[in-house]
Amino acid sequence: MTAAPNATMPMAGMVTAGTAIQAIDVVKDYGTGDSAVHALRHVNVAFERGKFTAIMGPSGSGKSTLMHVLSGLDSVTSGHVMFNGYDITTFNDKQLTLMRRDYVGFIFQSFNLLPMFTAEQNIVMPLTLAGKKPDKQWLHRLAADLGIEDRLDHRPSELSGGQQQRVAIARALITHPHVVFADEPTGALDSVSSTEVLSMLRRLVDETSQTVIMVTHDAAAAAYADRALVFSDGRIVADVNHPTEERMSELVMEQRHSAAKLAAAGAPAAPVAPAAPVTAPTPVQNDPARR
Amino acid sequence: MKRSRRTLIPAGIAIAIASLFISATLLLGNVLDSQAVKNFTSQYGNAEYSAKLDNDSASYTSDSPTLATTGFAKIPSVDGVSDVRYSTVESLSISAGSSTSSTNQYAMGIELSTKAGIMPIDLTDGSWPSKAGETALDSDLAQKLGVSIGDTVTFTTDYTGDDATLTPITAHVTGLTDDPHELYSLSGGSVTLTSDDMVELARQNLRLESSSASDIAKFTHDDMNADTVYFSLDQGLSDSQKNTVIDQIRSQVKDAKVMSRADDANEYMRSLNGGGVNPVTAVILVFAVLAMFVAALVIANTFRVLVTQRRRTLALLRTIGASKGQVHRSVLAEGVVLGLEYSIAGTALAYIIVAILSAAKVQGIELIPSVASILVPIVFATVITVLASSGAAQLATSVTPMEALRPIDATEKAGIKAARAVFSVLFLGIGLVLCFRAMSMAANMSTDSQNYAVPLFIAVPACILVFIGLIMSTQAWVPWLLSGLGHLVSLTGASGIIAAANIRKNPRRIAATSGALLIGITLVATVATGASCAMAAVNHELDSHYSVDASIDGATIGSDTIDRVKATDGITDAMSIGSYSVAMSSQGTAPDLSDVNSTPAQTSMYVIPDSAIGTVVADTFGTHHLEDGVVYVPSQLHADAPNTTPNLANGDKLSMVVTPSKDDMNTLVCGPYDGIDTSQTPQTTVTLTVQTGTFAIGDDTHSLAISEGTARSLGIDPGRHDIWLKVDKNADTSKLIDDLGKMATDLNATNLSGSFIYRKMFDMVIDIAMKVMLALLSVAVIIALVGVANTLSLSVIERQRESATLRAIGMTSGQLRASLAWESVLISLGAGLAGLVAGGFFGWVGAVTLLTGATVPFAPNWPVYIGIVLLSLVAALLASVLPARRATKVPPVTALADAD
Repeated sequence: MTAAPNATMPMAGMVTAGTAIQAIDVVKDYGTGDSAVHALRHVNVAFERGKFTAIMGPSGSGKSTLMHVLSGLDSVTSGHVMFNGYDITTFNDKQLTLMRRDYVGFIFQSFNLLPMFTAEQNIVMPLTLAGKKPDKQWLHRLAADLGIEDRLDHRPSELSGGQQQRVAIARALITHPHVVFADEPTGALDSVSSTEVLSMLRRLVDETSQTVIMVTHDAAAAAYADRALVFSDGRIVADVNHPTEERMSELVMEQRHSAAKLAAAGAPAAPVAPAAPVTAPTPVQNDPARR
Repeated sequence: MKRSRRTLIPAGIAIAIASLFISATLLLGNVLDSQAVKNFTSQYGNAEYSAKLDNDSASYTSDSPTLATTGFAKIPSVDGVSDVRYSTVESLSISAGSSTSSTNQYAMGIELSTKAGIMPIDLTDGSWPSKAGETALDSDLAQKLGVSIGDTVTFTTDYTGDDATLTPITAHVTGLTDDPHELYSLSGGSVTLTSDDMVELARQNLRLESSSASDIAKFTHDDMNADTVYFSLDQGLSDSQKNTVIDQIRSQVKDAKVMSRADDANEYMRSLNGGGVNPVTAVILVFAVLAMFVAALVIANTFRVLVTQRRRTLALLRTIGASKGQVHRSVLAEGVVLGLEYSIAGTALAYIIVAILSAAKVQGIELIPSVASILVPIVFATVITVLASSGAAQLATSVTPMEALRPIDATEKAGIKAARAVFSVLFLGIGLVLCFRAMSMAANMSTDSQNYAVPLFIAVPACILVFIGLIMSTQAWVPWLLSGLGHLVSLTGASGIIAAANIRKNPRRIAATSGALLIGITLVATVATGASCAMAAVNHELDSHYSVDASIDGATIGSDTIDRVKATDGITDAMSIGSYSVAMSSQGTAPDLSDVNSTPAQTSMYVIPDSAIGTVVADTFGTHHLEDGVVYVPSQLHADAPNTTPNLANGDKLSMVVTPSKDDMNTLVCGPYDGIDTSQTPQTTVTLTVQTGTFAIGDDTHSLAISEGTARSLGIDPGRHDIWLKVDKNADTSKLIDDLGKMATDLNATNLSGSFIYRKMFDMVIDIAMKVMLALLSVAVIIALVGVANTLSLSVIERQRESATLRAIGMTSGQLRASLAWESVLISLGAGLAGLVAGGFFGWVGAVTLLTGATVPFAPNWPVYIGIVLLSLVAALLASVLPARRATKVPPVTALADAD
């Protein structure tokens, strides 16, 4: 293992300036032998700092797996994930946990607020876990921006879905994270709340240059992003800048058709579009990077 | 309902432990019964039948029945009878050969059976005696005497050896015997003799009783006493022939019962157990049932949680057409399967453990299977399990199909039903009032009151009432108590905050878990406190009955003697105490020592310096300063010797003749007894003011006490000095006695007395009783701790998603483990503290009402309390290990997965 940093990891990147997080030749298999599922097949992708990136694709295409691997929730089978200049595939469980606590924000599809705590307690939970005092000013600015100032003393069960997701966004941002990962953040919301949440994420990126990576299967949601990747069968098959809803719907439909055809033919899917150009894979080390 | 197997394991373990306990108890009962039978029938040897005098039949006259009057003498001549042994015994004093230098041993002469085939002892070497002048000795006895086969021994029935008119009987040792059932070991070992020598021994007794020579000459074997005859029948008799022989014997004997060995044993067991279970077994079963009750709480809790977790599934089942009855039955069926499975496992384990112990030759343990020890635990545990799950089954039927379509808020509401609250407050109130009533009744009752049991009979149900009230209202006060403790724990950091919040989330479940633990810990604390209060009260009593731990009387005391004594192991303090001899008259006037008929009470009077009170003599004078001019008189003096002592009350004047010393109680120097010339002895007559007190000093325990100032005013010095000792309670008693004995010899002491042996005995009895009860109760506590682990693991399963979320947003696995440990500690500590308070109170009430009339201080048993708290902390941490492992195994990715 390399000298792996932990909570004192510096914010300065040492790979490409402007790259927040980068996957290098990442492979993720579930199971072994004939029954193995290849969730990610040699994925190379870099995410720019201060950008809102959407990852799209049909169910089982590997888009969620990529997010799990990028955010340190799951290990890779091979390859490297450069986060903030460090290869997090060499991190142990504790280092990964501290990295997530201090540098990553999560927004979940079903909010995942802790029912026994109030909204405010939920928001400051990452700081509580770190044993740090919350920055009251930042907390109230977040609450004001998200329109939940008067709901801070309520428990999640007393909040609407949209309000709960806004509390979750506040929780994701309370630590000033390096990257915010959002996993189908509008999946459990009605259209009005969805629009609100997506607009907030957009504004967040525009106003604070927060890096946001969002997994979604909704073309309309992807249209809020600066860039959209389309996944199919463990590979990136499209990389679109300034996506529109129509373009993304089209791309996803294409994938569905080819996937269906391939399923009938029983052969692996061929990429429709070349994979996005990424910085040349720098072999940081040859460690198999397994925890 | 099948996926819950793993979830039910802890509840299953609770059932298994409880049924193991019951089965093992019943197996122990079998062993006790079998041993009782073995001991009882060991006198039979190989005999198949016995004839025993019927003690209830009072037809015989004042003369003790002889072999002739009972008809026992005729049994050997009955046709078909083979071997006959009479239970005649003669105590004797035996020595090796004729030499006077050999030490005498006491032993028991027993009579050889007519054909030497049915002795209860085994011949290990040589042969049985065949005629007078031959004997078989117990091998241990032979070793003590230093004789072996072929040597001669002499014996008489004379213990003292004072009577020279007896001619000792001389006998050759023909054989050595072993006494496997320890029938005669307490009597010094057996000396097996032919009937002729037994008759000779009986004649010696007559001689000692000064019977006339003609009576002695007339005495034969028929005149001997025996309450039992053991006999066997000829080989090869048919059953009907046997019956004929027995009938014939029955017609020959008078006032006796003729029985077979098996019938006799059966009758004995019936009389012992009253037709039911062994009393020891019955007592242990009470604890086993208690353990089962605690297990029932654990089971009920588990099922409740399971049904709550499955509400959605149940609702779906209801939507697609399952009836309420089906849902109800499915839960109950699960209870039956769980109860059967694990009670069978527990019972099997009990058998395996006992079998292993028996195979390992652990003393007294053997595996005696019985139907009851298999069926009782299984049926009982299964019934309890079903009953415990019925509440959950009821809950399951209340699930409406609508719930399948709505999200469920898993957070429980605190608080209890109104009826429950009313009853628990009522029980608590009435119980407490009765407790205090019983206590004041007991405190105001005199020691010898006829109604001594009344306060206890009130207090026990009162305590049970209070306890039921407490258990019923756990849902109200446990969450309150725990949230208080939770606030404290929250201060320790994130893990504590999350633990406290989780505890608040499931008040019902936590209350039920705490309730189970509360029962166990309360009972442990009750026993421990009861024992320590009783111990304190008994100590107080002992102080007044045995005021001095030990005393070396009349020692020659040199300058360094006291320091040397103090340096002895086990002696914490020592002091030289002067003593006078006094004579009091019953009239209260100065006794006239020249007149024997004035019956002066002879006793000692000790000079007690104030510094001795509370050190070498117990602090029982009611003061730390003895007044000059006052004589302190033990209050029981007149009651114990009403004819020779004056009846004294505080303030009375007591006149005494005081002399400087006495050697011991038998030879008072002061009195005219034994013709001692008193004119040579300085003596003085004084009159002192009486102050009575509860103390017991001196070897007659009735001695008086005066201050040093009073002693000086007498004008004569005490002639004797005793060394009073304070003994370390924890010292090795037997070694201390040895040491003291040596010391007394070295110091030319006339006497050594020590009440510390009695104290130690009392301490030991209370201590052993407490430890046995604690050990039995510990099973219930263990089950309750399994319940804590159970609740935690159920919560962990339920909280998978929350745990994963916390892990995702930055909770380390260490923090997650710590949080579960805190949760476990909170539950255990809450129940532990409440149990200590309740148990401490119950124990005190019990001790006060049990020991009526005595002053029973509240004596907290700190070692046990601290032990309970530490143990429950350790156990809580252990209980959290497995659930924590399970919780940290859940990958944080789970947080992102969709809801089930």
